[in-house]
Amino acid sequence: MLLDVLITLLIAILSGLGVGSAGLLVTFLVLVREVPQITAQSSNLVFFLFSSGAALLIHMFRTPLLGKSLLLLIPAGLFGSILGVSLAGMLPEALLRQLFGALLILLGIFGLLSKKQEKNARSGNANKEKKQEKRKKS
Amino acid sequence: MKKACKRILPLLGVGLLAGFINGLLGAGGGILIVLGLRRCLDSERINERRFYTTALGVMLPLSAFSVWQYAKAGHLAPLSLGQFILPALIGGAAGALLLPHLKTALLNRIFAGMVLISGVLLVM
Repeated sequence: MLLDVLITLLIAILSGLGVGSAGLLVTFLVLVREVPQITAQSSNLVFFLFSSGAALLIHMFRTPLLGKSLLLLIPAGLFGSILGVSLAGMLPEALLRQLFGALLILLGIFGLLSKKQEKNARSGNANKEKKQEKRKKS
Repeated sequence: MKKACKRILPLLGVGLLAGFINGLLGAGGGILIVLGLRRCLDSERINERRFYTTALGVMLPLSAFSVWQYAKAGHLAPLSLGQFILPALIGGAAGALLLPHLKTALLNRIFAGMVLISGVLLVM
């Protein structure tokens, strides 16, 4: 039980930091706790609601959301979710697990390769902020 | 008008795909949203952090909806408050509070490596 708490806490901190959780909880539940893949996925979603819900409340004070984009993304996403969950229920457990594994592999590779882009974005933001400060002073 | 249309369709597509992945696999939609926003919007003018916050803002209702569907289909296991929900709340809040004080570049790299290894373990 203590292991469950520690693992969940650690993954939630990573999630709050914006590093992501990318289904690490699913991996833990499936491989260590031997929970069925689809059940682990639903548990991960619940976990996400609480960890990212708490994080979003804090982030929103500093960083406003892009409201117009939300109006497009959410309705389309809800429709996509219906399709996704329906398909998840039809697939065999082994295939779903492999698909999930493949997703993690892609995310991991992308995460390792995209550091340069992120670094550029961060330095770009730092420059943007410096310019904005100069404008305010003048 | 043309510029708006150039953004609307791709964003709808990104939303659809993110929702689909979220529903199918219970994870992974958020990064698609971030990438989609970067491509579709003027990333020169917009602070990168807004993409991440917006992605959270999108994925929360999508995840809630997916949870509801999983529950309807009988795939949702009751999660213990003490073991999962409280640590999730505390950890998420703690991470968000720590963010301005930490350089996450190294963490990102470690995390990406962990995700890759997890994927390999699941596929094996």
